[in-house]
Amino acid sequence: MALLEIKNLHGGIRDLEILKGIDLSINEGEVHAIMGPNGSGKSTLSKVLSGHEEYAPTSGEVIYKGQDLLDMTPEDRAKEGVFLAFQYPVEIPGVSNAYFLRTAINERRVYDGKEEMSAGDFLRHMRAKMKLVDMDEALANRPVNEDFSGGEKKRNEIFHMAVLEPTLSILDETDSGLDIDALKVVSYGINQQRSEKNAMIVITHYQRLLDYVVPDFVHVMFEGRIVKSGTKELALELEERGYDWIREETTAAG
Amino acid sequence: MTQVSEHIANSDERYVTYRTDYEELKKAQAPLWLHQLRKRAMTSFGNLGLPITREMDFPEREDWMFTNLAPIAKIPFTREYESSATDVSSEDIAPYTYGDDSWTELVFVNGCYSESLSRRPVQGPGIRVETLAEAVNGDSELLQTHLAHHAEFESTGLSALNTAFLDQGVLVHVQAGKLTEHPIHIIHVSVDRGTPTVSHPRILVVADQDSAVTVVESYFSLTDHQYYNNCVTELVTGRAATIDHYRINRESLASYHTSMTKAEQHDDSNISTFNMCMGGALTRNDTHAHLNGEHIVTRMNGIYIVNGSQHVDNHTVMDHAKPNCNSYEVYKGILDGNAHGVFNGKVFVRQDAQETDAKQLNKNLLLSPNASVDTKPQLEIFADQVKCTHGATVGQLDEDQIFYGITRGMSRAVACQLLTYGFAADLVRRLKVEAIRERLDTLFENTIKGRTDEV
Repeated sequence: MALLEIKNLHGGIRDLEILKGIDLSINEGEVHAIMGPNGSGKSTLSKVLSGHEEYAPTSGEVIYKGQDLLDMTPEDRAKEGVFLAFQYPVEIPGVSNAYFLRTAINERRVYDGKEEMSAGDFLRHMRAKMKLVDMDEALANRPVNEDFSGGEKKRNEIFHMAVLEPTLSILDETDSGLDIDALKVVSYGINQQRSEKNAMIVITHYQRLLDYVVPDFVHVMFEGRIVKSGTKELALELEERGYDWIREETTAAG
Repeated sequence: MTQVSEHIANSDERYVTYRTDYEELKKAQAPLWLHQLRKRAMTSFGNLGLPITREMDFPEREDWMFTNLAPIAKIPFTREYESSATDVSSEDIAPYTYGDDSWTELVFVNGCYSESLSRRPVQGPGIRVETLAEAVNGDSELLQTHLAHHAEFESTGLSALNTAFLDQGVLVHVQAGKLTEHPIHIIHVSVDRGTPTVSHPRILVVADQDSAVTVVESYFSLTDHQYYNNCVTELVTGRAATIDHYRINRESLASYHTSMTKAEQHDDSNISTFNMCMGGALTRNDTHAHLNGEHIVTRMNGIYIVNGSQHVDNHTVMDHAKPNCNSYEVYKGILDGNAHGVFNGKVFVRQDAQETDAKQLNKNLLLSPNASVDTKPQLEIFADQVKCTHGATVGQLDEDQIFYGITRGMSRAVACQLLTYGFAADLVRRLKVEAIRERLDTLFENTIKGRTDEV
């Protein structure tokens, strides 16, 4: 059985339907890139999957680990291993990154029926993960994302992912706003976490990230639907030809 | 004030216990200057009474629109004279202290100095830390120069009452160029002895040129009983001197706490005040700074975390009298239950005070639909080359922040607790004294998580 099975998913924000029938199947060990022009519904899909209260599904089905994902609370989705890396990470003044993550990890452990991690164990766990994303200890002790540069915020999202070890990660435009050096660091961090046990949805506008995080599949979203799927070569073709030909093909077919 | 109201206040039945106590205090031995000072203050209190909103006229009334002291006036509070303090031990006090043996701790029980509970390591040369009684009997010139010269009592009933009972308190004097190595901690502990007691703690801190001192005032209770602390603190800096002042209010939830902190600053000086309030049924703090020199920096920060039917009112005055001074002020409130908060921040920029930079912020988090806040910035600017900013917010937690925590695996409740803690911790982590910073951080964390275990 697939890790995530999306069937004919419709939904959007308030009365506006943005997703108009998404079908997508993701197995453990796979990385799926979702590309598409602005407004095609990529970020909406990430918010519906993670359970943002303003984004509601209206019909269709999402099965995650054999369970009805849409029926689960946003908390339970996260505790079951669904992780969202934000396009615009949120600042939490007064709460250190380390304290924030320790609270999160321990809530999950309690949910899983495990003991809470001690401060010492957490510190060791965190330090090991900091290396993955070349994270400065100072950033771990500073309030979450406060006064972080754009690049530091994105790196911090991948650091959160590394610490929390999710099963399904949705990376929403993690590459936006990164210079080439930061992109390499972030990509390295992502690649280090790829395994046979987890899966990733990488949402991006650009081929650039996919040079470093090579996807198993590439999907193109357009007007709330996945209109084309392929392998990494599709991303290269999009980079070369833009989205217009997709638009034309879709319109002609519709 | 008219003769009629003077007559009324002087014969007011509500204040009979104060008058009786005052007659008692008059019998105690004291130098003439102190007798006279108390007498003037008592006369003033006779004219003014307690500030009870409906009994006041414009404009004084404006400062008491949201805080009603009528409940205090109804209770026959009496003053304790000498406390044996046998019902309080060092272990009772320990959870409310911060430092190691090197900190000076002056302990007052129900307003009376306790020598046995206090710890007074030898101060370095040029540093004088004495009880008021010691200072009055010793070299009292400094007292006569400063005491009641900054916190005026002619138009302020609470300061008048405190000054009329000027007896118990602390003098801290740091001579030019001297620095105190550790904070001076003044501890006021209350304990139930059957009758409602009032104390009038009086603190005077004088920091001469180029000196620096940290003074911490703590207020707490060992029992959940009714009492009243009416505090006055005067802070005076010489040129380029620094005073850091902390007021930590963890009073009983049945108690009343009013305070006037008056700072008088000269050229190049720094004063910072930090005002933490978690206790008290009713708390009113007035914190006033007179920036009476150039190149002064004044910081006033405060946090109130209240619940149930607690009422906390902070009135601040930042009075810029001279050019080129900076003032920064952040007050934050976390209100739950039916708690009521009041913030009134006045900033005066006098005509001479060109190039003033004044920033003020009051942020409130309401955790319950029945909690409320009245917040009001009040800027009066008479100079034209100034930068003044102010802001006030009253609201709930940010949904985007909550969702961010949820996507990391937190339950909504835990995410909310964490954000609330962060709201408070953001201010605490700026405190200079590490021991206080760490203790308050843990205290806030546990309070917000609803843990009752003591820290």
